[in-house]
Amino acid sequence: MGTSSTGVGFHKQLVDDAVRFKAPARVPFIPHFYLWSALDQGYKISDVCTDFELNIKVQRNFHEKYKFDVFKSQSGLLCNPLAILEGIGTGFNVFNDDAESIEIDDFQIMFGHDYDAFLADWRRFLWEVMLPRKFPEWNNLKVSDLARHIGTYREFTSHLATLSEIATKELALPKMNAVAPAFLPVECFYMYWMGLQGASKEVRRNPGKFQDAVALLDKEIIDPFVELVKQGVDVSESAFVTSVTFLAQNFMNSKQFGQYYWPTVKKILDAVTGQDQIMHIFAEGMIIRLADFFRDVEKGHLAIQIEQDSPYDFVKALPNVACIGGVTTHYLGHTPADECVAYVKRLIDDLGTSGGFLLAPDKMMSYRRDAKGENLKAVCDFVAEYWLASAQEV
Amino acid sequence: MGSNVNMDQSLSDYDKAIEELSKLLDFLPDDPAARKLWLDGMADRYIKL
Repeated sequence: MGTSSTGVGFHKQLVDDAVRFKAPARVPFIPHFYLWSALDQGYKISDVCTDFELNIKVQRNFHEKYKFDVFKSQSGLLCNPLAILEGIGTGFNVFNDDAESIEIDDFQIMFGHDYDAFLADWRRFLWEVMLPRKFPEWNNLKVSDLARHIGTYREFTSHLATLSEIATKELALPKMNAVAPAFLPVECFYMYWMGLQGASKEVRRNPGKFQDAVALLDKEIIDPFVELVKQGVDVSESAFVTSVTFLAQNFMNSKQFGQYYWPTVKKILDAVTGQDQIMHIFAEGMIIRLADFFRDVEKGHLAIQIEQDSPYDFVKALPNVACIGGVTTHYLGHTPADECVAYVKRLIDDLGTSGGFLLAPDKMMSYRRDAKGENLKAVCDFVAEYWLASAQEV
Repeated sequence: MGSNVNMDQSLSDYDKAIEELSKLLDFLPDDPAARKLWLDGMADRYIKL
């Protein structure tokens, strides 16, 4: 196997083989880096988050220096929010350059008494109730106040398209996914409308109404998305057909996960397997405790990216689901480079030679001390050259 | 950009605000449903940021 193996198709094949439990030419490495990449390049967070061009430069530099196997956009966190919000309020994000972090208040703009209005017309409710709760001046604003925001929001969507072009044309890497719902319905309540405290209380205080609200979004957002997947999606430039994120499962028990997550997830998984495609789930926190839900998923169609769970425990618990993870901040941030490489080699030898395992950091890399640049570079260089003998026999 | 846009329309009324704002989307196809969807996407962004 030669080192000339490059290009979107090559990297895509690595991921595809690993997720389908075929021995890959080498184990692919999936990036999971966000604010860290700005700090690694010496930029202030407030600058990178308020300048589209600098934002693109940071993402391009990151992928050119560190050789990963997919392009994972960081624009969800680095996206110039101040320009989009200009004139209507500050939003919930606070850039703290001293602490090198973005702080987000735990907020709530939807409450237990709002379900009926939400269920009647959730888009109108968002516009007429939630936006004024978030931005106190909203009802005093006029169309003229939002006119320029149309241009800024269009600039943001162009920014995403530019990044997509950079990924496939300049960097010759597949994008993470071809299509994706922004968030699963249940996550909207946690991330955007109720916050951590609000959502965790509502699933216990008003489980029926909460479930009705989740079901409404499922019908309005997920059903059209599932139909799109069923019709067939062009995945020639993407590693996965789709990708979803689990966040709120961390404060739910198994029964609640079955109520608020599983119907949506099962629907998407069925569409993906029906099209013989592969999908990715990022499970923040822990997921093995919910393994029973995934035992019947057809082998070779799903990869779950773990954080706090051990990859060794994961492959035992779910031998039908590919595991993404294992590269810990303990090694990347706090040990010599040669120890990092030895650890990653052990992971690959133990878990990756027959497929079913992909490397990724064990958390969203956000803080400077999450990784040393020299450690990450050493690991990326090693992984890019560690060809598997087992693949040549396939 | 349409000249018949009521720039003084308050944002407090969803239907009227969307109707006026959609007149500014001359880079999109002239399809009211598509324009409403685009503006809903922008409103989503306000919530998420």
